[in-house]
Amino acid sequence: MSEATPILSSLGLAKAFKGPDGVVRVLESVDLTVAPGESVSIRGESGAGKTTLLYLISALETPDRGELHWDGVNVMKKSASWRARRRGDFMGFVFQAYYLIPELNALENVLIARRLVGKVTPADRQRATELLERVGLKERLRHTGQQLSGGERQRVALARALINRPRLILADEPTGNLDEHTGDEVMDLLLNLTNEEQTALVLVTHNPTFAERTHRHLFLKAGEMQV
Amino acid sequence: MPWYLYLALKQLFPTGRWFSFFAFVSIVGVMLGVAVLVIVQSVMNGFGAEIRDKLVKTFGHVRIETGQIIYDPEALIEELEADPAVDVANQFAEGMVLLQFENRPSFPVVRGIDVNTEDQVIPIDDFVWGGTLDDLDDERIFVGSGLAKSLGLGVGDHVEVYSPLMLEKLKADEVLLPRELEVAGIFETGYGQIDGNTVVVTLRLMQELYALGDGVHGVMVNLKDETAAEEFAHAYSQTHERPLRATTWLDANQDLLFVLRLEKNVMFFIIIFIILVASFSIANSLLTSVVRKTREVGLLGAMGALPRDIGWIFALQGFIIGVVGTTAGMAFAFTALAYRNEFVHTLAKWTETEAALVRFYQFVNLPVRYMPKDLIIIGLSAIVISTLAGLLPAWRAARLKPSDALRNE
Ligand SMILES: Nc1ncnc2c1ncn2[C@@H]1O[C@H](COP(=O)(O)OP(=O)(O)O)[C@@H](O)[C@H]1O
Ligand SMILES: [Mg+2]
Repeated sequence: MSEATPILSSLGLAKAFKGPDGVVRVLESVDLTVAPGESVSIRGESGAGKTTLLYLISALETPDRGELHWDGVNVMKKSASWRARRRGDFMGFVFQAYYLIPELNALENVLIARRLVGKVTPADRQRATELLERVGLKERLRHTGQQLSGGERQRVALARALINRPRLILADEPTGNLDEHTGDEVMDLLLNLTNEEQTALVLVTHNPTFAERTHRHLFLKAGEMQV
Repeated sequence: MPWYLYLALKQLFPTGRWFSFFAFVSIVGVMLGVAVLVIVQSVMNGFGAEIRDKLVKTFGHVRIETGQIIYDPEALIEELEADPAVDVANQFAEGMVLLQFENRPSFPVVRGIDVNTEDQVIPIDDFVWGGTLDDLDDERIFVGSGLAKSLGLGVGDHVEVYSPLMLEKLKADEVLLPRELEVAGIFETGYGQIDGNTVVVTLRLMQELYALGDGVHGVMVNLKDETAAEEFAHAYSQTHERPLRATTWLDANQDLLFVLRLEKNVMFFIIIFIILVASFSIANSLLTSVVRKTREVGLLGAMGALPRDIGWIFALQGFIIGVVGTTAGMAFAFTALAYRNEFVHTLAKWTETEAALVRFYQFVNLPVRYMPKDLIIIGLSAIVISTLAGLLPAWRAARLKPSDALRNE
């Protein structure tokens, strides 16, 4: 794996926020390299900066210092619109709170990620349907968010994250809002699907059992990455 | 279809429902404004057209006058009728007389018309009842309906007419004998100023009363193309020397026509406020929706959306509401106006005021005229106003930073 270009590599990423009580230095210097198809878990206390790190490596947030490469490309040297476009087809996101669009049904929610980066073809519909079937929502294609349980919503979000065949999935505490059993199921799906699709995964989680199931396990502490 | 248009449509017309409550209320707001505008403007056009029609019919398209007596009207008429643009040309004379009926005096304008020509500029028969133009001779007179009413006159009554010329005789101590004339018909143009203060006699009688000899006061002209009046009058004044001058019916009624236009414009600005108010509620609802959808905006950013495109989601909603509301409003207005007579009739029935339908009579014949220019202005205004309503929410949405939006609780 070491000779292939990393999907993601960051060097010395730093981020501080101006708060009401002065500057909060969240990340001091974070180095993170993810190889193609590799899964990495990141644990850390609440407020350690895990979410902030995900936003930095997806270039949703600009670092104060440090370098960021996506598939060998220096991201910070590119325009904002290049970053937005590339983010759309290079990465997929799974959030703690699902974020489905309430006016759309499950299938449309999956396909919206496709619409953002290009035209929706019959093949895309086929893939979206297959992904929803794969996450066990065969009978729920036309249900809207309101008509789905929390676990079902997160499965839709999973299919949405995968529809564009991204090289990397960023998952921010994806089971945080789910009960233990449902959380287990969703996590199984996430790990199996990223494995099947050969997609790299950066998984932020509190759950040590889930964290153990990735290739590498990292801790974020005092603004730096620790093994 | 760009994804932001897709999302704008989905927010207005979500999957599994016909439309969102917000879309319904907003579209109805714009629809009502557009419908009322179209109905009011088109009815005003209708009334305006009737008034203009009356003005043309009582004045003729163009009049040629000198401000003095014209002694050789035949030559003038011959020249005019040789012009291919001219349809009819009639000589006329006009003045004031003292008209008395059973010791009740009045001072109407008297118009002498040439009854010998077959083609008439003024379609008198359209206005007269109790007689026709053929009944008019040198012993008879047509009286305006308002004047007839105030004097208590009817067809067959006899009136006495004194002309200013007779006053000269009075000064010379001659015996003063009025002309006694029989009322051959009552005319009603529906135009109060004329009906209350005008009588019509033959040109020959008028020439006699005013001692004009063969002279007349002017020539009225109808053109083959009514809309060419101004052009014709301009060309005539260019090619003829003073004191000959041409006046169009438009010049003669400038003030009234100006008031008609002013009224229509004022009504437009009053009613457009319905759409303005609707647009404020659109802006307000869209702003609320931006706040409610903050996390979705963050999600779209994470999925590769540009701020500009996120703005489009909301701007397009204003535009779509404008287009759908305008279409619905026009359809509503056309339908309402097409069934206006039935509507008034049914209303009278429901309210058991069938008898009052007589009073409604004028209303049943509500005149309507659609003008493409009005419809375009109304449609464009409605669409522009509702699009503007979406711009502030769009700007707010575009300014949201995805990472902040995603953290929004
Ligand atoms: N936009 C922001 N402005 C100010 N402070 C922020 C902002 N975003 C995050 N922070 C702060 O950064 C720290 C790390 O937050 P976060 O990355 O969400 O932690 P984690 O995901 O590990 O729980 C927190 O103390 C939080 O208050
Ligand atoms: Mg977090």
